[in-house]
Amino acid sequence: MIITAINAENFRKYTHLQLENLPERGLIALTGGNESGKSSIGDVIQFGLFGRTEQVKPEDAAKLIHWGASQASVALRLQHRGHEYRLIRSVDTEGNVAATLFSTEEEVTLADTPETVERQIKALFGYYYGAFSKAFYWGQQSSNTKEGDSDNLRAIAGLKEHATLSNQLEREQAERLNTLKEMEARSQHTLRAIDTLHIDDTQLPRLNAIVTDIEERQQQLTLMAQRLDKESLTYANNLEAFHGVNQRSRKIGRWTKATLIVFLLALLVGLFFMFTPEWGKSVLGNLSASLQDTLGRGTIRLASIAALVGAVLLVYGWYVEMRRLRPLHIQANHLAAAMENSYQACTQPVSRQLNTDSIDYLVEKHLDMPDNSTTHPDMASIPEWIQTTRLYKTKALHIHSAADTLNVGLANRRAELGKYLETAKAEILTAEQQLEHRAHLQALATEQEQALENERRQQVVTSTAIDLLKRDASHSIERFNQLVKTRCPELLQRFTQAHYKSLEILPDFSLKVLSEEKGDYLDFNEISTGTQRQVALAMRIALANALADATKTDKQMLFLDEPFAFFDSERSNNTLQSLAETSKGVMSQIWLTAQTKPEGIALAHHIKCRQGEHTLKA
Amino acid sequence: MFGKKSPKPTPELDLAQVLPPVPLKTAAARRFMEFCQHDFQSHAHADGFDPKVYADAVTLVVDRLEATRHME
Repeated sequence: MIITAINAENFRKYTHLQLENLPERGLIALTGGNESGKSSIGDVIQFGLFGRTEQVKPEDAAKLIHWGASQASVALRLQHRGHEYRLIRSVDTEGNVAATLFSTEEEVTLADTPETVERQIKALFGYYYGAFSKAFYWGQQSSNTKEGDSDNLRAIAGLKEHATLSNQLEREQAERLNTLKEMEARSQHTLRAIDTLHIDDTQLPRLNAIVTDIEERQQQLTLMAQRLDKESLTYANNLEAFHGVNQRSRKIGRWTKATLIVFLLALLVGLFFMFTPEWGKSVLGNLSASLQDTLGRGTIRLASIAALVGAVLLVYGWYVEMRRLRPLHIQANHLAAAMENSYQACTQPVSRQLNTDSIDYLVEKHLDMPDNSTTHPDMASIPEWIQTTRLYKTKALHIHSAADTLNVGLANRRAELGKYLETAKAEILTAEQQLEHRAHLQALATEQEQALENERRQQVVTSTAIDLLKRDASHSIERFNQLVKTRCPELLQRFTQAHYKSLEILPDFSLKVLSEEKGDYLDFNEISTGTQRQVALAMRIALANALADATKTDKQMLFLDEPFAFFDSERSNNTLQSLAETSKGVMSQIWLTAQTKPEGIALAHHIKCRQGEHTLKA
Repeated sequence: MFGKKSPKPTPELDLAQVLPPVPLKTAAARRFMEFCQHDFQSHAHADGFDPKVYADAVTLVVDRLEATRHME
C-alpha cells in the first residue's frame, strides 16, 4: 500500500495540509527544523489509517485537533495492488471519530465506521496498527525501544489469522466429535429398533398366497352354487321331456323288434317256397307251381318291405337316442356332478379343500374347521338322489329341496372361508404396517448414516485444514525468518559500518547479533544503545520487507522519522544509499524526515516544512 | 524405434484442476492459497491422498479468511 495524496484540516499544527501527486517509488524527504511539522505528517498518516498515532491512543484522538478548532479531518488517497481507495477520518473535540473507506474504482463505500474500516484495512492490506507501526513506521519512540518483541514479530509474520482460525477450527472439531458421538448413538438406536422388529420377510408373501387360496376357493364355491342353481332349474322340464322321449324310444324299440320278426318270418317263408317247392307241395297240398312261386315272391317282397321299415325304425330310434335322450342324460349327469361337488364341499372340512400352507396357517391360528357346513336332514338323502338323478328317477321336488339345502351349505362354507380371510387380511395389514415401519426406520437409518458420513468427511476436511494452517504457519515463520536473516546482514553491514555482519533470529524470535570484533553472537542487550538503534533500523527495514512479502503486496510505503539522528555522516550516507536501493523493490515509497535535505542522493520528492506556518501545500 | 516404450509419465496434478482459481480479496487468503498450490503438488502422489478432501480443506480455510473482509 502506498499513499498518493494527503489532505488534512486542523490537524496538529496544520490548519490546512495538502500533498498531491506523491511519487509511487523513491525517497520522499520531509525536511525542516524542530517544531516545523515533519513528524505531524507521520501522525496524519497514522491517524488517517488507524485513528491513532504513536503517542496518542484512539481514546485521546481529540488531542490531535488544531488548537481552537472543533474538528480535525484527514483524507488519504491510497493505492494497493493496482486498486485505488479513499480513506477519510475525522475527530471532534468530544472525541467522536468518524471514518469512511471508499473504493474509487467500484465507487462503493467499503466501510463507514471506525471498526469496520479497521477490519477492511486488515483484510485489504493485511495488517492492523500493531503490525503497521512495528514494520512500516519508524517513529521517535520506536528508535528508543528495542526490537525483537516476539509477539509483534509473530503478528508481523502474518500468523495471527492462522492462529485465530486454527483455534476456531480446533474448537469446531471438538464440538464435532461430540456431535459425531450423538449421531452415532442415534444411528445405533435406529438400527437396534430395526432389529427388535423381528420381521419375517416370508410372512407377507405366505399370507398373500393363503388369502389368494381362500379367495379362489370362495370363488369356486360361488360358481358351484350358480351351476347347481342353473342345472337344478331345468331338471323339472328335463324330467318331463325324458319320460316322453323315453316312452317313445321304447315304442320304437318294440316296433323295430316286431318288424324284425316279420322280416325274418317272411324271409324264411319266401326262401322256403322258392328253394323247396316239393316241401311246399306237401305242406300246401295242391297249390299250383305258379301260385307257389307267386307266394314265395310275395313273402320275399314282404321281407324286403319289413327290412326297409325296420331300417327306418332303427334310424329313427338312433335319432331319438342320440338327439333327444343323450342331451337329457348329459344334463342329468351335469346336475348330478354339481350336486356331488356341492355335497362334497358341504360335507368335507375346509382342511381338505385348501392348500397345505393355508391349512397349516388355519391350524396355527386354532380356527374352527367344521366337517359339515349344514345339518339339514335332507343332507342324508342327497347321495341317493345324486345317483337316481343320473337316471331321472329323482323327483323334481327332491332336486329342488337338495339344491336349496346345498346352497345353504355352500353359503355357510363361504361365510366360514370369509372369517378365515378376515383373520388373514388382518394379519396382512399388521405385517404391512410392520414392514412400513421398518422401511421408515431403514430410510431414517440411511439418512443418519449419510449425515454421519458427511460429518466424518467434514471432520477429515477440517483436520486437513488445521494441518494445512499449521504447515503454512510453519512455512511462513521459516520464510519470514529467512527473509529477515537475508536482508538484515546487508543492511547491518551498511548501518554499522561492517562492525556487525549478521543477525540470528532464534525459534523464540529473540535476537542475537554477530560481532565482527568479538567473532561471536551477542545478545541484543549486550551491544551499545547507538548500535542498538542502528541494528533496530536495519531490523525495521528487514521486517517491513518481510511483512510486505507476507501480505503479498506489490508496493509498500515506509515512514522513517529522523532515522539518522544518532548516525554519523558516513553511516547516514550509507543508510541513504541503502534506502534508495530498497525503494527499487517492494518497499517502493520511503518517507523520511531530517533536519536538512540529504545530500548526495536523488530524492523522488522533497517537501520543506517551515516553523510557524500552519499551511503546507506540495 | 524397436526398443521398449518408455512408461508414460504420471500426469502432474494441479490444485487448479480440482479448485478453480478465484480472485481473493484478503492478503491472508492469497498467501495461504500460494502455499497450498506448492504444497498440493508435493503431496499429490502420496498414498491415500484425496485431492477432493484437500480442495475442500483449502476452500474451508480460504472462505473463513475471506469472510473477515465482510465481517461486521
